[in-house]
Amino acid sequence: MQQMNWQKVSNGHAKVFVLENDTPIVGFLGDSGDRRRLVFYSDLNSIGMESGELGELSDVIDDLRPEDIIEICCFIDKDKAARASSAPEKS
Amino acid sequence: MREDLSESIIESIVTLPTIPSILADLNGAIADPDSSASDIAGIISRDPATTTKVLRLANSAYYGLRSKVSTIKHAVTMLGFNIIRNLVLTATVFDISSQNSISGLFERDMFWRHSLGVGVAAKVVAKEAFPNAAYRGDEFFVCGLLHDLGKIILGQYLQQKFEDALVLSRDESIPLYEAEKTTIGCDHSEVGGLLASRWSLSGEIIAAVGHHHAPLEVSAEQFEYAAVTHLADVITRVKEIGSGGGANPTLDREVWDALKIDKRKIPAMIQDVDNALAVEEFAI
Repeated sequence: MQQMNWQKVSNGHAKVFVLENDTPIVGFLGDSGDRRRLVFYSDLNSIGMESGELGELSDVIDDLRPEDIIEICCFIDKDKAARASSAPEKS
Repeated sequence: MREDLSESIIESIVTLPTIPSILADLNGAIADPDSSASDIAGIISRDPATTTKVLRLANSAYYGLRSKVSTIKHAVTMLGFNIIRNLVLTATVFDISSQNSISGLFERDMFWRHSLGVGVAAKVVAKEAFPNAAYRGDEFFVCGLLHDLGKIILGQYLQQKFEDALVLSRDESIPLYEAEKTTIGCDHSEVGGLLASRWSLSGEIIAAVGHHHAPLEVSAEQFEYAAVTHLADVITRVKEIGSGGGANPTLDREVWDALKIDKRKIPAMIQDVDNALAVEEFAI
């Protein structure tokens, strides 16, 4: 699996990351109830399936490469800012 | 021998500006143990434009002064000689460029924002990597602030070739320093490092400016300044704080490993950068 940028998929964004041990995993930032959640899966086809879920950032952070952790954190912030600016104003 | 060759090549490519007299005089005064706050203030006050900028920087939220300073002498007394020298250096360096924009690929205001971002990030990274060196926070901040000094020189004195490098970096998605080597023959860190050396800036600043893309090439004593600036630059670019021009640089894994930062601290570090920038009114 080769994926350079975050891709829009269903109700979120996904990107492939290669762990320190060269294992590819998929990060999916999407809606989970009323909040936004970043979850990692074993592959693209597992997105949304509990069986393929590896956990959240804290569960895989030790295995991720530092540059990817930086990129993930910045993407989460960017997503948050984009959603805040596009949210309808309350009257 | 390699360094000499590099210097002569750089000097054949771009004429480096001589150190501004105010900076040269300030260096001399600070080196004199008999100098007073009045002496230092007197040198700076000769230049009204620099005076205004230094006061603005001194009164920024970053320095957290309880009350505003309205005179240079007061600023010198409150902040000390070294911080004031760093402020004059900052004001002077960013004055070199008369360009507000280079083909829309390198905007002065966005570049300042990037430089400030790296300064703030450098302080955050240093706090994590060297927790016992909190007293050197301002040194790391200035290193980050000035790290891309070379781009100011290239943008001012070799605009066309620098513009070619910006375009090449964007089109080929290669780091700007690689594109500069192709279009110019040297990169902004080499140019900036040589200038910093010629201006007799501190070893830390020379290391950060000259080696933030290649920290492993610097001496052991100065490595931490180059390495911290390297990581701060990467973080700032990924966060898209301002614009440094061209494609993002890549994180050197050896440098990361040498800093010995726990990966689990990265989310908090990035949050700290955000928090620091949120209160920053460090406008030049």
